[in-house]
Order: sequence, then structure tokens, then C-alpha cells
Amino acid sequence: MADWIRCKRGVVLGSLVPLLALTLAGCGITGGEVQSANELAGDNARSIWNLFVPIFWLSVVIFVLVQGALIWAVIKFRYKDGDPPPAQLHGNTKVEVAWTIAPAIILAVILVPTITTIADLASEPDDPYTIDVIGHQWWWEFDYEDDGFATGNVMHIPVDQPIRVRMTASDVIHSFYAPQLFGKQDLIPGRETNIYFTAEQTGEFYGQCYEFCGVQHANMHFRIMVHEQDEFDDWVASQQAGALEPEPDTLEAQGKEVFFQPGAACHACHAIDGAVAEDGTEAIGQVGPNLTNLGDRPIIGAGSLENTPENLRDWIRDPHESKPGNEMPAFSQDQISDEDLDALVAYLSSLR
Amino acid sequence: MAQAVAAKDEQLDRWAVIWDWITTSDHKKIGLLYFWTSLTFFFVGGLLALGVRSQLAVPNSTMISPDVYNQFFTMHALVMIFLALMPMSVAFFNYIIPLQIGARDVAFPRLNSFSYWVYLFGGLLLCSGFLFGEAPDIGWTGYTSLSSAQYTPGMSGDFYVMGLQVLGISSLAGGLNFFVTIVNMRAPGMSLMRMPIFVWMSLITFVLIMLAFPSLTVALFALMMDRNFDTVFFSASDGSVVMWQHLFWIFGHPEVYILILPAFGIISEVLPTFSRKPLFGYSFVVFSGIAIAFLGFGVWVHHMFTVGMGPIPNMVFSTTTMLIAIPTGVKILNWVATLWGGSIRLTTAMLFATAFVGMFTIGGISGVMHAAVPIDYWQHDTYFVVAHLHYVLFGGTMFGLIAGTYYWFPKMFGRYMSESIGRVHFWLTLIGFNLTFFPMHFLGVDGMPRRIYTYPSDYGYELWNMVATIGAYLLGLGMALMVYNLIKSIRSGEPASADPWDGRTIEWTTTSPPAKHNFDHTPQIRARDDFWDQKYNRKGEAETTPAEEHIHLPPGSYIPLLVALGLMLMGAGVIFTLWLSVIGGIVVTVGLFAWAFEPND
Ligand code: HEC
Ligand SMILES: [Cu+2]
Ligand SMILES: [Cu+2]
Repeated sequence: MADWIRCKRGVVLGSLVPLLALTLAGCGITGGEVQSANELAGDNARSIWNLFVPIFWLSVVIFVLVQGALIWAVIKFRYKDGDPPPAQLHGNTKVEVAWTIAPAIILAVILVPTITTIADLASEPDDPYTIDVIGHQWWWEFDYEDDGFATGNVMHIPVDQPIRVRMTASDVIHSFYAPQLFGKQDLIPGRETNIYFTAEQTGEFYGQCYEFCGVQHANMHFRIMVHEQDEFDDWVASQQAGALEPEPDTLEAQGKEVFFQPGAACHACHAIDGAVAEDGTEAIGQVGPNLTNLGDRPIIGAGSLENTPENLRDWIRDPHESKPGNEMPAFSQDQISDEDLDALVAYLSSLR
Repeated sequence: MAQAVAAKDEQLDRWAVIWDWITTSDHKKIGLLYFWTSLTFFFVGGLLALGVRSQLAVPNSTMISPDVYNQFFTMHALVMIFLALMPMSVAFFNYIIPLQIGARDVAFPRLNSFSYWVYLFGGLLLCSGFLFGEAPDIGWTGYTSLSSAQYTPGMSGDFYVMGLQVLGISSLAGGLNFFVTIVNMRAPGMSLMRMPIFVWMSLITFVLIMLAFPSLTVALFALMMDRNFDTVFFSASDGSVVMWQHLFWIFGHPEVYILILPAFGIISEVLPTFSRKPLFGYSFVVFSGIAIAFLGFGVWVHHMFTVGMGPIPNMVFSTTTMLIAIPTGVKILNWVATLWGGSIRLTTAMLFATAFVGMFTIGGISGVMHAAVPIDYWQHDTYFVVAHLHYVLFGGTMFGLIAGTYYWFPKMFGRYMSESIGRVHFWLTLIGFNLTFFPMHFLGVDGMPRRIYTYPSDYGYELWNMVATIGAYLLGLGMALMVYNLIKSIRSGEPASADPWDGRTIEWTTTSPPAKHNFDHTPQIRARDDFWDQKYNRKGEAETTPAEEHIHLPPGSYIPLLVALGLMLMGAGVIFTLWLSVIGGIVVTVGLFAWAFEPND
């Protein structure tokens, strides 16, 4: 017979090698990254991980058994020239009933903790601290309604305090997820969704939008800063006090006027709490992020750039360079001169 | 002079051949049209995928701009699902089902040709967005309100809506046609429980198509109205944004089974043939297929666990989703048991079929993981899901279709495909596939979202993205080798007999390739795996009805093509200018009358 019949056994075994190698490499290398689901810092994320671990190991066992049987069969039961047809076995009801029931039992075992965890994650904790999150194309608005202020793209929360994130979206669907702290939920225009979690550690945690929301879905990052309670209270107090008023006759003071001047008119889209122009105009725009504490944020453009004075300059000159298609217009030399821009950047960077 | 005449004759001949293909109602020719068209679209989708992978190879890449990237990943999915995988299954439905049930053609031959032309024109309509730089860029799921006229102005959303709407008509017509064919046109003696498994799985697929596509049709119709005629079905204030997702996934989840069941069927033919053993637990495989189809309509919310419907719906749909893993697991174990104790010949077809079982198992297991809702709160919309769906659709469906290609190629072309090239093709594909998609599990664990055109450099995503990109190119190379093998084997492959693999089912009783009328005598079916039974138990005495003198074959017709063209114009009108729709409507109406009154011999 033709030679397609014969094939080296080693070759078959070879099929598992790349998979196994990858798995091992993966286990070693995954983890420890800024957005990994297995670097836990929140109770919500921890329940998810605790559910995942047993299911994962069960999966590994099933995977090894099935692939093992498959490969074993292919190696063992090979045709040799002139072999008569093997026994024409049509099935075995007992065996088949057994392997219908076995997966049913395994799944029932998985289902119980799944259902309790669902209930767990959905139940509202006692006396949570509520933050409203509103998704916009392509940035995050964080409203601290009870304390009377708002901020953008960087959320501050106290440690060990149950948090309720109450969410909606102003335009299209987004999804809010910081893997180390909690599982994701979507933000849906016209609806309200909630996430409940408690941060277990202080620090800076990464997150971003996980529901495709248009051209800049990729650059819709956010950060969550977890503070000790007293530190957090200080932060809240400083936000309530509004933006620092620059000393008169400084670069920053000049920058503040640029913010309101007709060529820039940043105030049409951005709010800076407490900032008032010489002519009495207030900065209460709602189109873009609130900038009251911009100098304090590690990122600008929802993670498009690191927050440095040079990047801030570049951002204002042309936000589409680093984030093509976003909703903020570019500002040319004619609208804001280089000198004015320096002043503006100095002012914005001074805001805490 | 004489030479000129000869040349002219040749030209006439060529036109006659082309005319014959255009008007054909022969299921085998339509099958081949489906095969080559879907293969072409497969490579279009593949190139888009390579574009996506190239962009993601390194962080902060600016190779492809974000709006073009969004068109790429959207069109990659649409092309692969609607223009490559589904129609490649249809190629096998067309070519193989009538042969396997001992029929001369399908129930409605002209409707069959209509399905093909609607598919081709719908596909071209969907892809023509690229000509205007406005291909769909809203994800293949087209979620509202992103897909509304407000957030996706211009033509891209309309190409999505109208392209899919036209394609849906093709699927519905095909599903109906083949359903009736299988129910009515089986050879005498072929009871339902004697049908080849491929026919069974296909039958279930057609039921799914007929029940699932209407939901998509409704959703697309409402979105078309919203986008073009200011209705508010999916408006956040007056309608419901989430309603789209329900309608879409009531179609979308069964669609997954529409994609995978034919491949289940194919490998349930390939594994027994090359193990020289019947399929283990035939009736379990049949009934688990039916169970999957039934449950398949009760799990759609597992795509929506994160929309905040509350704990009860999530618990219920988590349960149904896990239930569906039971019949699926049964199938996998039955396949393994089919190999067990067999006499296995590792042909390329067999290699792909066995690899299917292995790869599909991985996809199935990761599916159970995100069936557990809280785990889905993590894995949803990350690369973990991208890995999962490719293990099911490439490692599953595509591997199955490739197995089917190697398996039935000798029947279709009277020649073997090269086994030596086939083997290289297999290993390149298997290794490339796993290099591409396995690392995506790790990226998912590390929180990389899907559908992002770039990622920052300090997130630890570099290594696995690079590996995946290298894998994708290997995979592309493997698939290119398949095309080379196809072309080379058609020209100069080793000639194959009517029964090249010692087959079990009756398509192997006809010549390779089969005559236009398929069978000289209508086969008489006495057993499941009838041909095997004939060869080994009944010792060669083929049972047939008395020789038939007048075999009626349906004539060709150009009218299906005309109606299909009219339908495409109707769709295009919504995108460009409504006058086109009016013209299209007239063409369709006139065409349907001509169709009804066309003489039938
Ligand atoms: C037409 C409205 C509009 C105007 C005018 C405008 N912006 Fe913006 N701005 C936006 C939007 C929208 C964003 C969010 C962009 C994104 O990240 O997608 C933004 C973002 C920013 C950010 C980044 C904030 C963060 O936390 O990421 C800064 C800084 C900023 N704008 C400064 C300015 C300055 C300075 C001016 C005046 C020169 C200005 N903007 C004028 C709309 C505007
Ligand atoms: Cu997004
Ligand atoms: Cu599904």
C-alpha cells in the first residue's frame, strides 16, 4: 500500500511538545504584570481567582486524560499492511451512560461555588462608599457625589473600605475593569450597573476599558489609587477646596488667563473647580475631563501619555498625535503662542 | 482562415463553459463554486488577520492607523465567519449530502444556485466597503449604540447591516433547501438512524439556521431602520441599547454550532474510515448533537454576563451553558473510543481529524471556564476569549473542513491530494496554530483586552504578542501550502479509484468524480455504513432498483443569478441611494415571476 499509511510514532508525540512547552513557559512568565488577574489586591478579584484555581486544575486533569487517551490510541492502534479489519464495535451503552454522567457530576461540582460566588459578588456590602463612574468616548469621569466634586481618569479610594462603583455611560457601551481589584461590568447608556469591592492594599492599580467603544478603545486606561483612610480624607478635603489659586504675577497665573483666553477657551470643555477668570468666567465645561487635580495624575489622555510637562505641551498642541481621533481639538500657534503654552502647561502642572 | 475559425470555436467553447457554470443547478458544480469562493475569502480573511498580528507584534506600533485596524479586525471576523467557514461547510453540504443519501440532486436545484449567487454578491457587497475606505469597523458583533448613525456615521455601518442581511437570505434559503432534501430525498432503505453522521450533523445545522437566522434578520432590520430612517429601537432613551445584544446572540450562539456541527460531522466520517471501525456510539453522537442544538438556544446570555442583568439570569445561563458541555464531552469521548481498538491509518485527513479532537477539547475546556460567571467577569473581552474562540473555530471548524477536503478530494477530482505535502501542511498548521493562539491565554490572564489597536510597553504583553505574530505567519505559510497542494493535485495528483480509502458510506460507490446523475441506479440501503456492509458482510452484491432509463436532471437557469443580483442592488441602495433599491426590487420581482413560470425540462 501507499506510504501514507506509515508514519513515525515520534512525530505524533511531537504534537504535544509545543503545547507542553508553551504551558510551562506560560506558567512561569504570566503574573507579576501591572494588569494581571492573579496579582490580587481586592476581595472581589480574590473570589474570582479562588473560583478559578480549582476549575483550572480540574481542567488540566481532564485535558491530560483526554489528550493522553487520544495520543495513546493513535500510537497503539496503528494499521499494519495486511491487517484484517478490527472488530466492528458499535458502542457500549454502559460506558456511554457512564461518560455522560461523569461530566454531569463534574459540572455540578463546579456549578455550586460558581453560583455562590455570583451571589456574593452581587450583594451590596453594608455602608459602602459610592463613586459614580461615567464612561465617555474615550475617558472616564469619576463623580464623588456625596463629597461634591468630580475628577477624571484617576480614581482615589480608601483601603479596607467597601466601595460601590455605580456606573453608566454617556455615549456608547464601555466596560470597567481593574484586574487586581475586581471583575468587570459594562457601562451602558441609559442603564445603571454596579461593582462592589474592597481594596486590600494601598498602591496604584491599573485598569482600562474592555468593551470595544470606537476608534480609541485602546487608549481608555485608568488608574485606581488606594490610600490609607486619613490620607484619603486629606485628598477629599483638597478636592473640595478646589484648585490652588496661583500667586499673582507668576508664570502659573499667566497660564490661568491663557486657559480662559478666546484662542484656547479650554473652559468651554473642561472644569477646574474654583478657577475664575479676571472677567468672572468660571471653568465649568463638561465635555472633557475635570482638570482640578491634573498635576497629580500619572497619565494624560486616559493613558495615552505619561504626565510630564513636555507631554502635556504635545497633548495640547495636537492630542491626535498620541491619540488619533479623540474628541479634543488641536491648538495651533495662532490659537496659543509657544509662550502662552509654556505658561498654560506650568499652570496645569501646578494643579493638585 | 481555418485557424481563425478554430480560435473562434475555442472562444465559443469557453463562453459555453462559463455559461454552464453560471447557470448550473448541479449540486456538485455549485459545491465546487462554494468551495473555491470560500477558499478565496478565507485568504482575504487570513490577510486581514496577518495585518492585525503585524500591528500587534510590538507595543505602541503605528504601522496601521486605529481606524484601519478596526476595519481589519471587524472584517477579519465577518469574512471568516460568514464568507469562509460557513460557506466552506456549504460546499460539502452541496457536494456530499446528495451523494451520501443516494439522491440525484437537492430538492430545489435552482434555489441552490440562488443561494450561491446571493452568497457571492452579499460577500462582495460586505467587502466593497474597503473600496470606499469605509469597511465596517464596529466589531462583528455590531453592538449598539456604537453602531448607531450617531456614533458610526457614514457608510461603514450600512455595509455591515446590508451585507449581513443579504448573506442571511443565502443561508436561510440553503438551510431550507437542504433540510427538505435530507427529509425527502433519501434513497430507499435509508432510515434516519442509518444516515451517515455527516448528514445527521448537517440536518441539525439546517434546523439551527432556520431558527437562528431570523433573529439576526430582525436585529439587522431594526438597526437599518435606526440608522437610515430615524427609528429608535436601540436608542438609550426611547429604546434599549442592550436589546441588540439579545437579538444578536440569540442568533450568535446557535451560529457557533452552525459553524462547528458540520465539522463534527466530517470528522465523524473521517475517524471511522481511517480506524476501519464504525463510529463508537452512533446514537449517542446523534442525540448529543440534537441536545446541543436544543440547548444552544438557551445559553445566549453567556455572551452578556457583564451587562448587569443581575445575579439570577447569570446563574441560570451559567447552568445551561455548563449543561451544554455534557453532550459536547460525550462526543469527544466517543471520538476517542472510535480510535480505540481500531486499525489506524494516519493520512493527512486523519491527522487533521485527530488534531481536531485535541484542539477542540482545549477550546471546550476554556469555554467551561468562562461559563462560570465570575471567571467571565475576568476573561470576558480579554485575549483569553480570543484564544478560546480560535481553538473552537480554527482548531475545530477549520481543522474539520481541512480534513474533509483531504478526505473527499479524491471523490471530487478523481485524484489524491499529495500526502507528502499534506503532512508538511499539517505540521506547519498545527504548530503555527498553537504558537498563535495558545499564548493568547496568557495575554488574557495578564489582562490584555481584545480589539485594541495597540498596547503600552510596560504591561508585559510584548513576548507573547511577538510569539503569536510569528505563529500567525507560520500558519499562513501552512495554509498557502494547502492551496499549492490543491492546485498541484488537481493537475497531476495520483489517480484515485471510486473507493480510495476503503470507505464506509455510499458516496464511495459512485465513480470519482461522480457522473452528472451521481448514480446509475438508485441505491438500496440495507444498513448503517451501507457500503462497508456491502463489502464485508454482504460480500459485494450491491442492491439496486431496476436500471433507470430516463434520469431526469433539472436544467440550468440564469434566473437565480438575476434575482440574487436584484437582492444585492436592493441592499446596496440602502447604502448609496434608494433608487438602487427600487431598481433591485423590480429585478427581483420580475425575476421571481420568470422563475415561477420557467419551463422545467
Ligand atoms: C472641544 C472640547 C475641548 C476643548 C476646547 C479642550 N479640550 Fe481638553 N479634552 C477634551 C476631551 C474630550 C478630552 C478627553 C480626551 C481623551 O482622553 O479621549 C480632553 C483631555 C484633555 C486633557 C487630558 C486630561 C486627562 O486627565 O487625561 C488635558 C490636559 C486637556 N484636555 C487640556 C486642555 C486644554 C489646556 C485646553 C485648552 C487649550 C483644552 N483641553 C481644550 C475636550 C476639549
Ligand atoms: Cu472601550
Ligand atoms: Cu455562545
